[in-house]
Amino acid sequence: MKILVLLESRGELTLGSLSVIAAAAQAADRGHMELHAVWPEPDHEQLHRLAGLGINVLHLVREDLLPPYSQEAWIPFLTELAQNLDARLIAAPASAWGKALCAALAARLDAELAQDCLSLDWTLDGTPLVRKPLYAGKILADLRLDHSPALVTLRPRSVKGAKRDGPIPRIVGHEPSLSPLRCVLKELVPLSTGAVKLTEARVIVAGGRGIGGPDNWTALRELCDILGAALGASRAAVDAGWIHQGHQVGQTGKTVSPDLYIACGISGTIQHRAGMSNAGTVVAINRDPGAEIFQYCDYGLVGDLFEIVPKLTLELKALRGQGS
Amino acid sequence: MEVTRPLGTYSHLYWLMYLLTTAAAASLAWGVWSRVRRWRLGQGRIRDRLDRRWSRTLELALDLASHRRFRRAPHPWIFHALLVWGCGIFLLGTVCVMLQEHFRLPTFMGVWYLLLSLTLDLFAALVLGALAWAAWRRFVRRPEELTRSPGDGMLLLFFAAVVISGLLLEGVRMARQEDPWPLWSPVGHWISGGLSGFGMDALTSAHQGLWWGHLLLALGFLAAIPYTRLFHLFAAPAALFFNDRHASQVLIPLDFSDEETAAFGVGRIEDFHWKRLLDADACTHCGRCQVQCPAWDSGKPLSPKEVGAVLSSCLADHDRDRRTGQTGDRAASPAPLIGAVIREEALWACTTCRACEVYCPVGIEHVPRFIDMRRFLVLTEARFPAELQTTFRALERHGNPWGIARRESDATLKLPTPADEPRAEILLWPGCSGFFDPRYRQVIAALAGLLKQAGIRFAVPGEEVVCCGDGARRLGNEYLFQDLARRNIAVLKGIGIHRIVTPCPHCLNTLSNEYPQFGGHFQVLHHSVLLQNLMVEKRLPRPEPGKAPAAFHDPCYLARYAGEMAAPRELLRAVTDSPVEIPRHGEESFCCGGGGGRIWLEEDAGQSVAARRIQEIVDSSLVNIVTACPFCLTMLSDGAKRRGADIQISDLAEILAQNIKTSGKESSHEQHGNGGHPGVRHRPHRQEERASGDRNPG
Amino acid sequence: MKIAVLVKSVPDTAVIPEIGPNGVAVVTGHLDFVLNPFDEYAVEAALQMKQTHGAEVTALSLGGEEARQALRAAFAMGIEIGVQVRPPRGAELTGRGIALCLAQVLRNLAPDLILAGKQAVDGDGAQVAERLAEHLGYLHASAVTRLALENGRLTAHQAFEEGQLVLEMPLPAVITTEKGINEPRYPTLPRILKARRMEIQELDAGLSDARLEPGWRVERISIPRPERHRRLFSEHEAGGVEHLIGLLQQKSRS
Ligand SMILES: Cc1cc2nc3c(=O)[nH]c(=O)nc-3n(C[C@H](O)[C@H](O)[C@H](O)COP(=O)(O)OP(=O)(O)OC[C@H]3O[C@@H](n4cnc5c(N)ncnc54)[C@H](O)[C@@H]3O)c2cc1C
Ligand code: SF4
Ligand code: SF4
Repeated sequence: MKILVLLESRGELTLGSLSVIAAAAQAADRGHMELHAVWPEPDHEQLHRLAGLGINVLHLVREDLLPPYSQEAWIPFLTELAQNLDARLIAAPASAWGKALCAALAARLDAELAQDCLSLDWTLDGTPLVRKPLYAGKILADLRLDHSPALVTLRPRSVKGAKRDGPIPRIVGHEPSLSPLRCVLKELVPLSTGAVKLTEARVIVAGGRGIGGPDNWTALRELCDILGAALGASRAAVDAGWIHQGHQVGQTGKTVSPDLYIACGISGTIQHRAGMSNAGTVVAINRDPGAEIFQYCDYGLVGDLFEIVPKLTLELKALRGQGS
Repeated sequence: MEVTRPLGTYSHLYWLMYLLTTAAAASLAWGVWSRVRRWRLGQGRIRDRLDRRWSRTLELALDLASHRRFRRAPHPWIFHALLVWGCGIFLLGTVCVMLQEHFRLPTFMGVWYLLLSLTLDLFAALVLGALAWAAWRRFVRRPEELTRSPGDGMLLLFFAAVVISGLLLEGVRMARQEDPWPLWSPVGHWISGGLSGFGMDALTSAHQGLWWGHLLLALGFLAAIPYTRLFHLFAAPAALFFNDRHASQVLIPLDFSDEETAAFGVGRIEDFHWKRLLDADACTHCGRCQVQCPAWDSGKPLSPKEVGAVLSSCLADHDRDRRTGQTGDRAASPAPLIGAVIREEALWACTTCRACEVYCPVGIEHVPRFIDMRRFLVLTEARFPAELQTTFRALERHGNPWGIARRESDATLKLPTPADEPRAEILLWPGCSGFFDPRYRQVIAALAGLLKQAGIRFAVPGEEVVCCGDGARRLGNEYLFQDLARRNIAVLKGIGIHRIVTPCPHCLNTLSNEYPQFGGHFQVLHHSVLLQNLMVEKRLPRPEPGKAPAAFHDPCYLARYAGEMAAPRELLRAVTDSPVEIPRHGEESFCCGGGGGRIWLEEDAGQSVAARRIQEIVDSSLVNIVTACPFCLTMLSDGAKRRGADIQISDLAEILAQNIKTSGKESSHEQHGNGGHPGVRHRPHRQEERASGDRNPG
Repeated sequence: MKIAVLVKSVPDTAVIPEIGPNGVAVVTGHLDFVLNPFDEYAVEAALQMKQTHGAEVTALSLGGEEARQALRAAFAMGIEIGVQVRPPRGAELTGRGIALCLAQVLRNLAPDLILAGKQAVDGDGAQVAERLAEHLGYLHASAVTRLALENGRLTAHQAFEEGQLVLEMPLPAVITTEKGINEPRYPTLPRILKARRMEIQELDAGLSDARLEPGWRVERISIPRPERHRRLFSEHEAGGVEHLIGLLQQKSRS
């Protein structure tokens, strides 16, 4: 039996893909299965990074044959591949790309799909087990994926302790035929602070009265850029005329629900909170240990934002530079 | 000799007099009737406002006699009172003459006659004085709020002419024929002195001319009432008589049972209740409401006076169109009100503070008409400022206006629930702020501490209660309000504790005055009242008062809605040696800007209301402000922070708890050198304050 | 043009659902149901399409009584036609089963455009619409934050971690909506009241239980321990920034 993982790259192999490999490799070990991987947009310089992670076979498609963005192009190929391999499980990172692709693939394979899973396990009798959050994570369901094949998408996790001593993957090339695409990519709009709408942003960095002046946003803007975040503000900052009202988060501003909200120099009154109470993880950076925001943030750093924020940006840049 | 004066000089021409009188009466009746007829275009029945007839009559008599509704600084009232009283006296005199002449009743004889004669004379003089003053005010001093029209001058002259012709008539009579009691008609006597040079013939024809002149002027005055600004002589007492003091506290619920209803709230002039139409016509455009209105004061496009004026002219137009047949079918040609006649922004600007109502001498019910129109916008059109959608959705989905999930552990205040405290005598209702606002939860904690200290067994409802609905209702979302109210009533009935204490005056009003409309009858107390009682009963120790001066900011919903101004001041006296007052206080307090759902809206136009209040506080060099409402606490704190003003704003419960604690300690220790208490700070030097004010100009 | 909007009732998100006595199911009977928030965007998008291009918009919801509630909510927003698709009695449906049932009905309806929320916030399944597209042979774009129709071609901004893909495709297509695409309207009360009386068409999915049998089994349902392990790093405490870096790496662009 085989497990097939779908890898994603955005410039480089994503963290999510690495964590899918790690989880699948572990499962493959337990279930004594072969681990196959497809990498739609491979970076040939980086192929060596896949060595030892537990992948047995790596499927590559001749460059330019299937545009990586196009689900329309990839779905028939992947369906056929999964069928030919008779894969027991198909796993992908729970990214926008991975989730949409798996949903379509699942329909073609008439298989079940569990999205956004937190963990993947394998029973002794060879059945995949996943833990899937329901109700926005308020409830967890442990699912036993009896039917073959099954599909899962996995949320990224730490890859510490991942397999390193596996084989060097055998590479299989494919040259699928492609019928003309009906759905075409007109443009790719990259994230940049200006372009991300607050209400759609997955990450928001927000500043308040602690910013201290209209010219002090640089530190926050740089952090935004590296995180692909949108810039938010408290009403105090808007009121003072330091930033446009469109950035205001709160009761009388925008209601946002990013996965991550970083509040810098914001005291966190209820009127501000009203706009961001649906945020996933809340990080607060504030000088005053008694600030209300520390009552409901997940991570709080007491200190000067002008010290901490540039430090964060710097370290993140360094990490990105290394190509994590 | 009979003590009276000669009457019946022109009795042979009484038929003419009666003809003229009938004509004037007909004009008056027709005019009044056509106004009444347009009020009847409104909804509801006359019976709605005919309960308690005797007390209504009595109240009206008191209003007219004492002018109590006028007596609010800085507005002059005595001049208007003189005019009203004068008219009353003139009417009485005329009726007495008539009774004497035609029914031979002794109503113009003897001592009574002398007194009447004297009073008539004096009032004639006083009324002339008052008219002169009114003219001066209108045409010389010209206060901004007062609507002036050229017709006003004519009316004043007209009125004066009636009075002067009467006085001259008397003078001529006394010159023609000696009056044995000249001092009982002093003005007439004085005039007659000036006429001594004229011959009898001249006097006789002057008398004749004046008699008819006076009659025509007086009748003309009567006839003109319905067609001029004088109409308020009729409409204002009517508005006062039909006034419902609780109209703003207890809004009329909408009925949602008919699923065919195509429109809710007031979208056309005739959708208003008839009393609102009467109100629109009864307004005298005196502008007192406008002067006191926080929305107007802070530069919003709302003047309660103008709203009355435009509604009145809209009603007149509509009435005319209707009768000239221009508006046939109601549905086919709706006369839109909002947008066309009243600006939407004006409707949203009202904080429902009721300052206008308290100041209105005519008893006009301002707040309900705004809410009627908001209802139309929200329910029928779903048209409202964008940020309200967030609030409405949050209330629908989460039961609180900020949309914070209830189950979050921090929603529980760690206070006993009804299950923990089955013998609770009082239910402490924290309100949404009390549940969710970290700042206000400190107030709840302080209050709970005080209750514990007083040995009161209390419980706090759990997460199954939702917002009381005050905001939703006053923002016009009656549907949402009724849903919230019904949910709460069911829960409260289940809990079964009927005595409720709340620190929120908005919850107080809704729970005690509005929930009975939906079958929820609870006895609700504001925490200031309960705390004061506990102090009187010595269940709470009386703290050693601090030295620093502190002032109480009266929340609108406590002072003007609940009428509670005494208890907070008693408590204030217990915590400070020098209680002071903000210039506008008590029933005349100035709004924080948060009522009527305004706390959920951004204030775009002009200054913020809170900034105006903070300005007043700063101008009075006050530093410690105590209040008793979560909205006031939020709005004023926010206002102070935005201005950079160093003002400490706290709730009564907090200050009391703090002072009781510290005086408990101090009694066993040496007194602190500065004699102050942590909760109440000393006033900084004026200098510092200016400096901080300058840094952040309003 | 024919548009179909898929809507679903979800339990009121403000309340925590309970776990049934057997430990493998979530009890929702006691909860209030609301229209899935992502579906509100879809309904609004459909209504806007109708306004600009003219269309017949049909809302479909699969399920029992709660499906009717979702349709009524869609009616309240302005939808005129509602279809309740009834699954086979007693069938326990996964995303796969739901898509199969809906495909059955939609094949006959043959809409030019199918709109749906990007996921339902109860099961967070996030797959029905894409599956439908495959069953019907339609193109699809997921989590769309901007949508326009011009000369019969759709332009959709599909959100992903690095930005947005601007895709252009012909009809027929399936689009799932992401927050930000529009501001769903607040229903007027007369509409809400009218919605209560509006007729709901009923259709049977007409598939056998066996065909819809879930391919998985729920072993256990649990409530996670509060994920919010608060951590406060005081000033100059070591590790704060490092900790945060780890978090940021994980949360962004993963
Ligand atoms: C009706 C109404 C509606 C409102 N609507 C909104 C709304 O929609 N959105 C909103 O945000 N607010 C709203 N507010 C205002 C809200 O009540 C607060 O006043 C506002 O959010 C405070 O903004 P802040 O936290 O930036 O400022 P502050 O409360 O002044 O807090 C500044 C914080 O920055 C910290 N700080 C200062 N310097 C530094 C530094 N160098 N490094 C680190 N920390 C520093 C301070 O310790 C402090 O905690 C509303 C208020 C009202 C009354
Ligand atoms: S209630 Fe207050 S805000 Fe509203 S019109 Fe009257 S005075 Fe103005
Ligand atoms: S509403 Fe009352 S206070 Fe205002 S102008 Fe009219 S009469 Fe005067």
